[in-house]
Amino acid sequence: MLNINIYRYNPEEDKFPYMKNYEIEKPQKDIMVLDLLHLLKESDSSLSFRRSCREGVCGSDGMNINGKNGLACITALSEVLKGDRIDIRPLPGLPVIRDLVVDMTQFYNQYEKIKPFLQNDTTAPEQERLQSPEDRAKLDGLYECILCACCSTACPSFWWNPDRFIGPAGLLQAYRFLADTRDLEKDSRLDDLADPFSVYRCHGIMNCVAACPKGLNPNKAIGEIKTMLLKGKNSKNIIASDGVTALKENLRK
Amino acid sequence: MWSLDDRLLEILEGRGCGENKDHIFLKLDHLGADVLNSKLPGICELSKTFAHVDPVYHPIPVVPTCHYMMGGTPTNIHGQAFTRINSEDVTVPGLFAAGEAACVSVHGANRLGGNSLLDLIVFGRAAGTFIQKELSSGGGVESASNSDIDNSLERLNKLNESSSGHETAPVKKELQTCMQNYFGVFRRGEFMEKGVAELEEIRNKAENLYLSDKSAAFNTSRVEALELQNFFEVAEATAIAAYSRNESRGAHARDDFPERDDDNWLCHSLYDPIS
Ligand code: SF4
Ligand code: SF4
Ligand code: FES
Repeated sequence: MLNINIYRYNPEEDKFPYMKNYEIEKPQKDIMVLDLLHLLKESDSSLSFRRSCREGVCGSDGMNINGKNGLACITALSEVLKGDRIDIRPLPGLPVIRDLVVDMTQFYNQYEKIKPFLQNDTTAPEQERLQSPEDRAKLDGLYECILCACCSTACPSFWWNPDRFIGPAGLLQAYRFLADTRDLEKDSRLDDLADPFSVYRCHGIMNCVAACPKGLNPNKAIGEIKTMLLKGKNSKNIIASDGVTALKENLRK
Repeated sequence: MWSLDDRLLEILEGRGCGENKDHIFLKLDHLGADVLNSKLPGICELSKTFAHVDPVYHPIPVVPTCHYMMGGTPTNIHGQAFTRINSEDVTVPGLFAAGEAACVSVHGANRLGGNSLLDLIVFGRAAGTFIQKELSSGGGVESASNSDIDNSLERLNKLNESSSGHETAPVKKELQTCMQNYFGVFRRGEFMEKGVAELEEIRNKAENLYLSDKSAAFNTSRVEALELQNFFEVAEATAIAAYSRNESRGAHARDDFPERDDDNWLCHSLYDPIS
């Protein structure tokens, strides 16, 4: 028997969230956590969770599985079971809409801030903007991000400052465009990040790296951005403001 | 490269691999680690996650399956949906489609790998540009009448008021099994005939679903019920178009009509749910 505990909350019915216990026969095959949720939903149709591609590509089913953030569809039961027990909760730190479904607004707001699109106002060539294989390779480890939010919602700095710290996912994408040789807005991108909160709330806690189901390393990308900021013309105002302003801001809060 | 049917034939004729002889192996190791990891990173990742196989060293177990709709809502190059009235293409004002949902006819009868992106990006952009132009030149959509609104809410209201009927999940499984068995990679008239008859029964169920959870907040049961009804429409269109097309072309492989027949079938099949 599997002993499954799932975070349940329906704002129309429940005053408080609670953990609901389910027991089902342990499947013969090693199934994915998402398959398990589908099995449960067959008998309890009120259980809500997001999913779409079921192959680790769309980023819909990020959740907290036995204490670790991950994508339900590519997390095998055998990887996460503690004995026969499995606890599933929504991604931590974001408001819960219902059950395992969180409100991603804050996450997307941060993503939007970094202007996640190519900026290049030179006249487009007849066919396409070419890039050498070497320059294209600079985007490896960055472009694969599927915005599942597993990293940002595992980051204590993001929990504290979800409105001002861009968070690991957004910063990985910020670096993706900073590293892109076809993008011509490096300076303004760096200017936008040159405040005490956007980048500098990252203290290298590395939860993001442990959480990323695609094996990416936001912490490394953040390091690269910090280096670019220090080398760039915006360096002075950050060094000056980082410690002092941040301290003041925190005190004011 | 083998065609789809060769691969399935191997399995059907008992030359499949594994305990149940239900798959074949795709051997890619001759490409080497560099090519595989740089050119096919997605395939490598999927193989490792789901089949526990690293294509650099071992063959990947594969079966032919359906993973893309070559057809869809007929559109012109601006993404405008159209229908056919008295043998004329007539656009449907305000209705646009792009990507897999649309059929702008870039793929023919068998899409090549990577081209779904082309479809999305090129025609998604074209549709956006067109809509922007339309709107800024004062064009647009006529506003809906009350009866239009009632019509489109009918399905939703019926679900919301349901007090008995069929559960969504088993009906969905039935639909999947029917499509897999009768309209899969290999098609044959007698099987498809059975399938079309089975679909009639499933329609009855899909139209009479019971929604036990009627809450408003992120109700995925409701979405799944509505989705199932949409699946059904697409499945039926696919089934009827496949059953009627007495030839083989692209991904449509019939073993009772194995040849391509340009004299009679060099055309699109248009499915109109009303007629
Ligand atoms: S390394 Fe930075 S971004 Fe990653 S979890 Fe730690 S504080 Fe957050
Ligand atoms: S970096 Fe990884 S964990 Fe973070 S959003 Fe992207 S894919 Fe998800
Ligand atoms: S369902 Fe798409 S990533 Fe899991």
